[in-house]
Amino acid sequence: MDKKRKVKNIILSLLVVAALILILAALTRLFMPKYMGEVKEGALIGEYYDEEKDFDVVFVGDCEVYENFVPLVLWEEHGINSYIRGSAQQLIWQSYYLTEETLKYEKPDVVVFNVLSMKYNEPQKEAYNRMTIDGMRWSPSKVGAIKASMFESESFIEYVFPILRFHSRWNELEREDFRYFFGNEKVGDNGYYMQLGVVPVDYIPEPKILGTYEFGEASWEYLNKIKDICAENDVELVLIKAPSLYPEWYPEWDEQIVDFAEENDLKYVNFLECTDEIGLDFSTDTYDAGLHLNLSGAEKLTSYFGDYLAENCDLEDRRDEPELSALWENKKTAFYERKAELEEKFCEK
Amino acid sequence: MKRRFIAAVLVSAMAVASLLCACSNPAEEAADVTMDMYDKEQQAQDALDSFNDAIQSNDEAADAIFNESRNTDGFSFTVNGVKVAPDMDTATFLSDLGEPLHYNEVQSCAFPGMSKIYTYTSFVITTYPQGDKDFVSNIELKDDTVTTEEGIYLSASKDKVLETYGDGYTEKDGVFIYEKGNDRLQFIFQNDELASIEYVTKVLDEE
Repeated sequence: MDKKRKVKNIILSLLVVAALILILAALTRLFMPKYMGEVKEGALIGEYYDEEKDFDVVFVGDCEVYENFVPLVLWEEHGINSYIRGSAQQLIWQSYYLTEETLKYEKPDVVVFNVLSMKYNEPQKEAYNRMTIDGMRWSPSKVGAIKASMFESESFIEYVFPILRFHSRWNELEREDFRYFFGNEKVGDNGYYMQLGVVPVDYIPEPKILGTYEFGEASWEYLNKIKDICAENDVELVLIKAPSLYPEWYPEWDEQIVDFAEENDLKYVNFLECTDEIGLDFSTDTYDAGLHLNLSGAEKLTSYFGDYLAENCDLEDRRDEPELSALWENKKTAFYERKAELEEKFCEK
Repeated sequence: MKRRFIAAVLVSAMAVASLLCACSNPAEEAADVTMDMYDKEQQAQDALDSFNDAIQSNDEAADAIFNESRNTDGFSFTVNGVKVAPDMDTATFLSDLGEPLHYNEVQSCAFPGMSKIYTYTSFVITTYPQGDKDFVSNIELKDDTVTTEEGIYLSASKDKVLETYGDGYTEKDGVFIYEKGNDRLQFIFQNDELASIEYVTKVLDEE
């Protein structure tokens, strides 16, 4: 075989491999859920990577962060540049790995962690896990999140090649799968997921009796890890409990977090204890009868928390930074456009 | 050269297709567009669809299909002559139970549809959505005016419960769990007295 032919064969082989990779990548993108339909929350985690990563405050946690805090309010009232790395039923080990990953990109002054997920000591639903993990970029943190979250029936390879998990969607593909093939629309505003509806609280189901009120070992392990990684990176960790009236936040749970915060010299704010001070009106400020706040409620809560952060966490007001201010002007425009769009849809309903 | 290239691309495509076919297994088949991808739920839905279809034509047949579809003599709870069990379509019994004291809808953080909570004086029924139907996910007994089919009520002694249900339970985080077919019957004791009785479907479990 002459040299020229050898080169041709090598090039041909490379082209075949490239074609194979391209086809696999395209099919993977096509088959994976885009979270652009009724369930949009799965798209939130991936949006962080497009941001200028220079945040003062980063929130991690479940729906109690991404539906209850509005970064625009923190900016407008205190010049705090913040982002929410929240996702549906984000488990505490996922919060840890997201914190770890965030700290590789940037060093915020404060990480805020919502403690509701302490109640889960083991994975709950693959679908929820996917909504956090599939949005993460590949890194040791993502690998850690997968390993900590997987059910026995799952295999790691399905996360490496999601097409192995989702290929059977071939006969269920919808318009959104093709429409968003080349990229998703943005669904969050610095990680905040806007809700405008109003469903007042008229009854709160009686809390269930539990077999034990002690948080599990895994929950403690990862709370300690979050605390340690923040300390190692000179980042202040602030623990919060959002003011959701349901599901129940038991006094026994609260006591354990209060003790942990005291023992470790951490700040902990349980917003359930100050709903009046915040000015929350659960007949108008919730879109689902007390589980989460709507925009009106989230703005009140964020305003309250902004005051707390400004007073207690030594954060600079950055509104005099021209570039950052210009960036937030754009974000503000996008925020109010989204609000107008949602109001229009809301009126149509 | 051109032919070889086309052939190579075709081979690549076939390889991809083979890969996709080769990796089929029952778990993967369950994935769907809304990520509502749980085999067991789908099986239960199919079974319950059959059950509901049958109700319209023949009650006896419906009973037979119900029992068969649950693939078990699972746990159930009877109140005022109305039988309620995990995974039952609520449309088949709710009107017989009368008006609940409270009715709540709880939207999932991430899934379309609502979990519904029907609070009656002595028990609470919670549902999960599946298509346009709602199925019972759990039933909690709230006071001692109602009992399990086997006669156990809140405040019963631990000994009495163990005597009635036997030692075939598992204990997890202080919860005593008996399993039967697709159902779990869960007891929690406080000071050796029964403080909580709950029927739970296993259909929503993931392992």
